[in-house]
Amino acid sequence: MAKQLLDITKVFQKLTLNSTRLVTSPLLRLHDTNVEKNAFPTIISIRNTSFFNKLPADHLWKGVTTVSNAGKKRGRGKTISKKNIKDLNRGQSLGMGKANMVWPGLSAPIIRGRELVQQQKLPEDPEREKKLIELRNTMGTFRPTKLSPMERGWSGSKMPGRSIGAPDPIGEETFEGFDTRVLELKIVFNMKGNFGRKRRNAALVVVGNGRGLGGFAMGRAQEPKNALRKAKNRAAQKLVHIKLFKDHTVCHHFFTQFGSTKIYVWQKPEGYGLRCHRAIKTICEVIGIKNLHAKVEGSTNVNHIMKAFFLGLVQQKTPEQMAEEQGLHLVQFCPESNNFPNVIASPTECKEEKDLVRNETFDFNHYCFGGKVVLQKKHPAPFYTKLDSYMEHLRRCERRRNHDEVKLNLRSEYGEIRSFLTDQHPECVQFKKLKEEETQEAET
Amino acid sequence: MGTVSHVLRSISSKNFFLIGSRRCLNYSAIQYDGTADPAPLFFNDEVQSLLRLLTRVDYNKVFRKRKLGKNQLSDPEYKFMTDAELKESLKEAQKKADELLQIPPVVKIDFGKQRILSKDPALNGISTSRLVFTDITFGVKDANRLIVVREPDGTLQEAEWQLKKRMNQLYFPTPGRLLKPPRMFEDNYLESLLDRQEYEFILDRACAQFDPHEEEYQRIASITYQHLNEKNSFDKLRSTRHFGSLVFFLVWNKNVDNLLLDLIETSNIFEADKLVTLYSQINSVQVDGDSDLNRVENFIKTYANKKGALELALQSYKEIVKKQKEVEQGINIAHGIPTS
Amino acid sequence: MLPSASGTGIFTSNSPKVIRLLRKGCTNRPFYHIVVAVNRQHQSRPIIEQLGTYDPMPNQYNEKLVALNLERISHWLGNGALVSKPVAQLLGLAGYFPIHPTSYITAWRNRQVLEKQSCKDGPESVEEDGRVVQ
Repeated sequence: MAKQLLDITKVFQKLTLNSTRLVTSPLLRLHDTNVEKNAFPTIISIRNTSFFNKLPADHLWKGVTTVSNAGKKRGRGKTISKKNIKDLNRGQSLGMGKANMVWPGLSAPIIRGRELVQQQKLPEDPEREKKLIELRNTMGTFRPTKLSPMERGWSGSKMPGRSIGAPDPIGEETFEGFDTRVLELKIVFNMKGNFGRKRRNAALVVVGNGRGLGGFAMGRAQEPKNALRKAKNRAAQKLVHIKLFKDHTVCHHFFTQFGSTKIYVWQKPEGYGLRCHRAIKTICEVIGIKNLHAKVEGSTNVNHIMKAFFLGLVQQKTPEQMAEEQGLHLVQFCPESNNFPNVIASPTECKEEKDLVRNETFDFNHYCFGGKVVLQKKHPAPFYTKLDSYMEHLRRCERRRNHDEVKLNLRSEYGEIRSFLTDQHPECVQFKKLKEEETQEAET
Repeated sequence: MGTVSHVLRSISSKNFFLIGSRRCLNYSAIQYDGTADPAPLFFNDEVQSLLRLLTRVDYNKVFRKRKLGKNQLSDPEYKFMTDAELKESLKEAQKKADELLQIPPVVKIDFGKQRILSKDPALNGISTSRLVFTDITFGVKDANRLIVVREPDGTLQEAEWQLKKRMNQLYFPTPGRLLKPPRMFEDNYLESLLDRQEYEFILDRACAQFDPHEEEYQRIASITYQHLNEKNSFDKLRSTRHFGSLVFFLVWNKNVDNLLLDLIETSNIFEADKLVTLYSQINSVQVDGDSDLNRVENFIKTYANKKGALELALQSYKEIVKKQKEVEQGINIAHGIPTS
Repeated sequence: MLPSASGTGIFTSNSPKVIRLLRKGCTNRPFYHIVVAVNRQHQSRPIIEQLGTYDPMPNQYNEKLVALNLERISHWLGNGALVSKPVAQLLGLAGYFPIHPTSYITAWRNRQVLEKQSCKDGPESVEEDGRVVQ
């Protein structure tokens, strides 16, 4: 009996009398009219348990900000991005609100010194809201750390092309003057019997001292950092010596191939720079080649490019070797020195005209490239050259074609753009737009 | 050799005149504008070969690397060659060197003549300005190009040489030559160039800009030669095409002491003797002697202006030769080789 | 590409040809090419060949410059090309043709003008009248 009574009181507790009719939800309005008719107090039920208070906050957050794996496969949660997710709790703490109240025991100590802290309202902080908004604005936009231009790789702060320092010392051998550059950093998978796909990072790096020593290696590890370290240290143990011509370029033109990656490399004079694929450029910088031109034909897989290029470098011959092999003098003709025959290397015994076999190759370029010829693609004329407006443009340009030179000559002769007629006709000078200050001065 | 005025006073020749009107950098222009014509002497084969010999050709200097005015060096060309081919290409290079070292002609100042083609008084007043007609027919040499002027008074005549040069440059530009002479030949700029001893640059540019018979060319060249002679920097012009004209200039003006001193000091007694021969040929004087040394000695005694310095240098040269001989003999004795 | 200013060399064998002036330059700055072109053809059409130039404005040395490719001019004259009056005057003054009568008339008129002016202004200030050939 007593239990029944208790239940009833509980039910009555849940029922509230809506005599003031302050709550007028549209759904309840119809009900309200009935209430008016019947003059019976309206009963609104309140559920104290709901989706929001059944689950902890982090679960709720997870529900909003992530998608289950199964859901992702079905294409759910496409609009969820880190940009839109903002933690509104950040920058706020319990007891500190818009109204700048002091709550002893919550946002302030109960006793300060010997005095009891009183609950009181302080004047509002106008900056608080602004600071919060600022904080929230920065939250969604993630910016990777900005590198100095010298540290950047091929593409911003991505690893390929970046330097990761000298290899770790082995015993007493400290790799002084060495540098390591990353060529590739990628995620690779292999299948395991019990795990399925196993994900690792593979790094391809090249190590060199800038004076003709170079080596490359690939390292794999769970973490990119470890993969890079592994690769770097392994590359340091595989150094090869590379012959350089006058310490700035390759010994001669050469053709080299690995798989379907074919590379034509040209020796170039000082001041030319490195004009080639970025991977080749990075390798050259590390090894110490400063001038070279290279053309990659076929696949541009970085791994293959590097292997092909190193093969070519290692197989280079010195001028003496070439002269000895051909049994002929190797002579250089420089337009700068008026094509004076400069003998680079001579064989111990030179062949004579009658000794030369008819179909032997004597052309130096032919000899260097092994008879290969570079594919020279013909560029089609730009589309706009067929337009009528282009003809009009040419006609207008023709009129102005020597103006720059004439202006330069006039400047050197008179110090300004004027004609010899200017002495007689002072108005014959180029119109000069005055600056604001000058015009004001002129007016006054 | 102190001041240039001293030099000029020491020179007593009927072959040159001082031009007082154009003075630059304490030097007076000495031009070939007297009665005597240097051309027949200069083009004499013997004189030419002597001048070539004194130029002392060094292929490393002739074919040294120069900038070609491009942004970058051009690719060198490599060739495989047999001995015979190499020899042939070296011979070609030698021929090219001969061309590069061709001495700029030394000739008298020549203003040319203006031929009057027709006089037509009925055309008087045809125009207020002159009408210049240039024949631009393809393949005609600049010297032979037909350039005529119709004067406002109706006369048709050949153009004067300045106008001819201007028209040739206008319609058929010579590389390296400007329509107006560059500023570097103005006195103050020329002075700074001379101070930097850029003799080859000045003379090369002058050769490109002017013709050898022009007054301006001879003025610039003579000033450069005098400056160089005073500074004793003969090595700057050795192995260049201008050394021959320099030697000819010095010999013509009887001012070879510095060059002779330089040759003796560097123990080039053979060349010194050739210089004396050149002197005797151009100034038609007789220098006797049975050996190189003897002839040079005789020349110094009779014709040199700076006898003291030259004799001293010759003395020290003789001593060096003597010591060398002694050392050689000593070595021979030490090696047990009988000496004659 | 634009047709070359030195001429295309394209013509039909029996077309009438004329050696004439072709105005280049711009507003207030005339400059002429001496060209051989098809007679009565519009001046904007490509020409057969350029034979010279004529600058009617005196330069700083008070010279009017005329360039003539006499070899090609004789060639075209031999092929029966006509010569326009201004070109004939220029060739006459160059000594290649006999002097054109118009040149004599121009010279005479210029002299008349000068005389009149000298009478009017007095002998001390004679302004020259810049009469040109055409």
